[in-house]
Amino acid sequence: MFYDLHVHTSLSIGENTLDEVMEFARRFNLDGIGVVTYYDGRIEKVPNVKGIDIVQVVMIKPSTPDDLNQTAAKIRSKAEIIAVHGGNYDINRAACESPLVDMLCHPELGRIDSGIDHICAKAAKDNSVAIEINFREILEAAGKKRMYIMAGMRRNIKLCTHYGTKIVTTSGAVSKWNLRSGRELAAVTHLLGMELGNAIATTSIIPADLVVKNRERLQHKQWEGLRVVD
Amino acid sequence: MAEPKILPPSLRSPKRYIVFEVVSENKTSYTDVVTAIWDNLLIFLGENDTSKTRLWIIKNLYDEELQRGVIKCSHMYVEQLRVALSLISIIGETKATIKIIGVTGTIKSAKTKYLGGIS
Repeated sequence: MFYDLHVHTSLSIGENTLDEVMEFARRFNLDGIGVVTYYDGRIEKVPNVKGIDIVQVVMIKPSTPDDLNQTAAKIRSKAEIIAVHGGNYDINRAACESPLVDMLCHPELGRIDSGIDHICAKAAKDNSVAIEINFREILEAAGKKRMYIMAGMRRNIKLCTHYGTKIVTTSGAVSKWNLRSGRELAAVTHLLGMELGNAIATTSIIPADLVVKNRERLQHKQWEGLRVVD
Repeated sequence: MAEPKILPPSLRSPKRYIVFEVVSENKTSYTDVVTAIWDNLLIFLGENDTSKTRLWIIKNLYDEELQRGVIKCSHMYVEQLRVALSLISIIGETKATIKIIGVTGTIKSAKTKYLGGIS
């Protein structure tokens, strides 16, 4: 079972409609895709479709750490997955330190370092925040820029592996042509220094667990330390 | 002119056969696919690592109708090749990606499992 939790459609900055993206996702044997919408005061509804699991991923693009915490608290009871647009160290750290956040996207965006340090990695582990490895970053960069991005990701993987922080590998697709199968995305993470079995888990078990856990929480079937079993 | 003899099986390096499918807007020719694969490999892995992959794109197994083909490579470099192939976004002049259908240990199983052929 493969999940890709960072896919843009025409609901956000994507080039293609949800139907077009879904058709390609099926072709690449994906069982679920996370359709990203940006939070701008309201949460865009994502339609449910048969044959593929559509996960609603709400992306926050905060300007300050306080803004991040306030927005996350406001939408936690409505969003299936809360993702934070990373790149700024203060925002990256605040996201890692917030138990309301599910995923920190591309922490190395626009930087020459990896965007997170050992403090962030440890905080992310304590707060169950997953760190994203975004394939589009590598795909769209070339030469020296690609080298910096891959070096940053390699460092993040090393830190996360050391502290036991969750990693999620995504395509970050803004077009249906950016989509890749789960096994290919896992190969990227493996190439960046993670053991193959764990790399495959970053596109399968880890995102699937995250989705199940959050859905149960939204349906009031799960609280901290307590879960309703049918 | 004398040719070198084929090595005994114990001295041959293990290999894998990657069966791929080109997903593209328009149909792509064998030459365009080969050029795209080699260009991306050399950019991504560099000359040194590309030489270690022992890559061979098998010409007579490329099906232009099904857009499927087979790449022979060293068993140590399958994951690197997966990444290098997934970084392809344009073939010839058309938007395209390469989807890996499967990896096999023999050419016979590649044909029977994924290319619908009879061994």
